[in-house]
Amino acid sequence: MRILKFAFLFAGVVVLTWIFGFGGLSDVTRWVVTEQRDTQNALAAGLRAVRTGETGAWLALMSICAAYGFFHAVGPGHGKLVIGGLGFATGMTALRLSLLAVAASLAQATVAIVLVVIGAFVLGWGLTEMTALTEEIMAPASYAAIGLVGLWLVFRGVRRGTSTLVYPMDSDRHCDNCGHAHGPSLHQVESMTSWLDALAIVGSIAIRPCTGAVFLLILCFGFGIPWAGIAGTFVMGLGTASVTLFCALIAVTVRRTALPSWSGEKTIKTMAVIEIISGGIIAFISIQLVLPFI
Amino acid sequence: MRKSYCENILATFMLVILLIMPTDAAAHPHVFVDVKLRVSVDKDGAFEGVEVQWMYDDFYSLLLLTDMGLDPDGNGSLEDNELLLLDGFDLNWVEGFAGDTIATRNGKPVVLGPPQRNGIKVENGLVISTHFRSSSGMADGIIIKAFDPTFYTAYNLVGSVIVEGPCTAKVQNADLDAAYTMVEELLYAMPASKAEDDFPKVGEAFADTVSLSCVF
Repeated sequence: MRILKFAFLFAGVVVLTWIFGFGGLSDVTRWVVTEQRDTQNALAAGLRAVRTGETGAWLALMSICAAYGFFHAVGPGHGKLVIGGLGFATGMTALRLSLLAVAASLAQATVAIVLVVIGAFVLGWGLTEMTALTEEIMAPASYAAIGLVGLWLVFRGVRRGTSTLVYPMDSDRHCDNCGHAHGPSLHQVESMTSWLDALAIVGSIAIRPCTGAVFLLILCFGFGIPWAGIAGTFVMGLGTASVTLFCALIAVTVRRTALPSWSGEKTIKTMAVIEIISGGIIAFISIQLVLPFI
Repeated sequence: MRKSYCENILATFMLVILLIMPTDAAAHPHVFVDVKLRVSVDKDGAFEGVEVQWMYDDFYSLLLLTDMGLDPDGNGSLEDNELLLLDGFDLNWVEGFAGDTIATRNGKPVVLGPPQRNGIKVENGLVISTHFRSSSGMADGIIIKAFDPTFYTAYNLVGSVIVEGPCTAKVQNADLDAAYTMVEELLYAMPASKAEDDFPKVGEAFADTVSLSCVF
């Protein structure tokens, strides 16, 4: 078992070193862009087939949508940064983080649907207006919101990293300044259970609808096959979620493997540092992305 | 004991790499365009301009036509009056938009004029639009690149570059490894303000380079 785990980790390090250090990333990106191009064209063919009512066209379209979501998400965006970062930073369980990843993708799909429905049927918008709204307003808004999530992680890290030291306790181990807790326990440090937190994270990712989904919806509404578009958008979201889910699982696995051998207060400190670093990176990248829009 | 120490180191290393991985840094394209370039040079070797043909991918072509309410029968070809409506759809450039085709000479920008319509057609459902941009100066040493700095549109130079006139065009494919390295450096080794200024160069790094050389 030990050896297996060791081998898994070693393989992971080799792959990541290749990706990061030896041009692997450009190979991956090149592959993704090529695949995305092919999938995008397959999507056009799939839509034509649904429009003419060919048998099996629906099923074919849905599988193309799933592939499109997947390849699109391997590229940047779509919350991998946030979800992965949270996996490192907060010690959420794999299950909870996975739910968050799927929720974010489905929420993102819902935003796309709401945008196109309102845009097309209420405001009479076309492709140009909707693309502009998506790329010039909602995308930077999402970057900004994700940046706030990052800053909030930093804040949490700093607070938790220092809280074991700063609160004085009286003789019956009661502390007036620390609310209900006598300094954070490992469990408290690791848990992030608040619904508000989850909502903020899902929201920051979902504000920005995927342009690909907006395209699909405009096409399907134009073709008079709105349900194919709506179903396809959710399937795209699930395709996207498969990637963020993978990031979530990697982040949680790596964190769980790296941390347990450190113990006690040291672990809490280390986790606080990881939280600060992850949050800082998330904030830094998001600010980089939002700057050109200001 | 030793093994767990190794595991610890490996996992920590992996964690660090994952943390600094620039997965969210690079952009991803939504529109794919095949570009064909045709360069005009007069008999004295003066650069007259460049004709740019954009062929949009199947999905985006379908989207354009649907959005404009064209080709409702979906047969992939347009009537003449429909083509008139489509003509020039991609040539209403907002101020500051460089037209995704740039020219330089000795590293200095060469002005390309506003786009002149030079034809629109739809073949097998693919929208193909052509425009011409006039210019001046000597053709020798001109470098032309087709790219979108934001990489929202992925331009792909296809076919050989035709030169009308006494010059030849050489196409140097983009060094993609160098381009991605540049993205990483920009985002991780530079203050934000500087990275922002330099960002357009990133799109350029992904573009093939067309260089003109003239012999008399």
